[in-house]
Amino acid sequence: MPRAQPTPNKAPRGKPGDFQEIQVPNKLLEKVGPGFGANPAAVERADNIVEQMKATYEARLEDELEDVIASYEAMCASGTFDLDKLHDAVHEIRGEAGTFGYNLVSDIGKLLCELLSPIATVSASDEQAINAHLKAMQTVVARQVKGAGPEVAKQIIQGLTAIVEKSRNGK
Amino acid sequence: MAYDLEHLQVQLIEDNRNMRSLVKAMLKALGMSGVRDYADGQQALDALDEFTPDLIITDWMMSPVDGLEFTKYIRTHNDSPDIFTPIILMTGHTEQWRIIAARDTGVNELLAKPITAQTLYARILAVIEKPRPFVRTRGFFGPCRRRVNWKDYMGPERRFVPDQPDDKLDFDLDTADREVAEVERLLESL
Repeated sequence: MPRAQPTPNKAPRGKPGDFQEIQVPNKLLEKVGPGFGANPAAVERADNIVEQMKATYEARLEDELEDVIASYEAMCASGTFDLDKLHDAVHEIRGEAGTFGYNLVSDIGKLLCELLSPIATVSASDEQAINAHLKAMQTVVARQVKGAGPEVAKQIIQGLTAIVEKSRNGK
Repeated sequence: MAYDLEHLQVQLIEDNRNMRSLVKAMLKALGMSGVRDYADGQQALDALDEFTPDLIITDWMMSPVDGLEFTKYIRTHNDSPDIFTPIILMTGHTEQWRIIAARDTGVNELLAKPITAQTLYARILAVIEKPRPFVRTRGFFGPCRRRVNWKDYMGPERRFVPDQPDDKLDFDLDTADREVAEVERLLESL
């Protein structure tokens, strides 16, 4: 599903006279106002909720990643790759990881999704590149590297980015 | 004085159970007690018979009805409860063509994953404080897609030129080996 490429917009193009602008009454403001701007106390409450859910998440993350790696290894062993399934699983992991402070896992996951998107047939170099990303995610989780991580994390991201870009441009 | 979000009726649509619970809990913490959650667009469509949301927060990739199909229904279908309902689309896909596709379907705001309390609240504030007029043309109906005057745009991408298609690099197994080995070496020192 998410690996699908864009389809051309076939919507008919409007002529100049077709344009109509509609000013819509602001029903939301009517319902929540009066008020203005940010609400730091509410944001802090929501941050606390995330913090409370973190322990459960961390226990789950390692298992989820193990499952993804096991599934990928099974694909490699059989020579039959379901990249959509792999993409979706990684995509889900990266979406949640950043929310819980595992930014590096999220960043590597994003790169892996970008790597997977254009692949039609998995070559040996693709296999290596995918494996490198999964291994990187697993290492980061095992060592509980949160946030952007230390300086070496930037170099890891740079290295993986180079792999993704070369793979993409070389296709 | 902060806005009173308590009485807003919110439809939250997200197929990932964990993510759905997380966002719902965050919304409640932000003061929204009227949040109803659904595992996909079809469930949310079915619920519209008995419930008119003030605000919709939806994921993109779901089946059988995804976030864009749901948005299209709200914006254009005869049975839509309110074609102007503000819609915030959550997505981990931030490629330019996807953003354009979302905008062209009629979403008001895009909320990029990973979500934080700050970004979630910022998007809610945006639909409250900066509503855009709606536009109807032959091929589009939704919030005005011109957020800024592009002629005056002085942002960081003002000199952006897309990559040329012939700008290809070699990617053979040997180079892949070296790159992967380097990443593995770096991981050891993490």
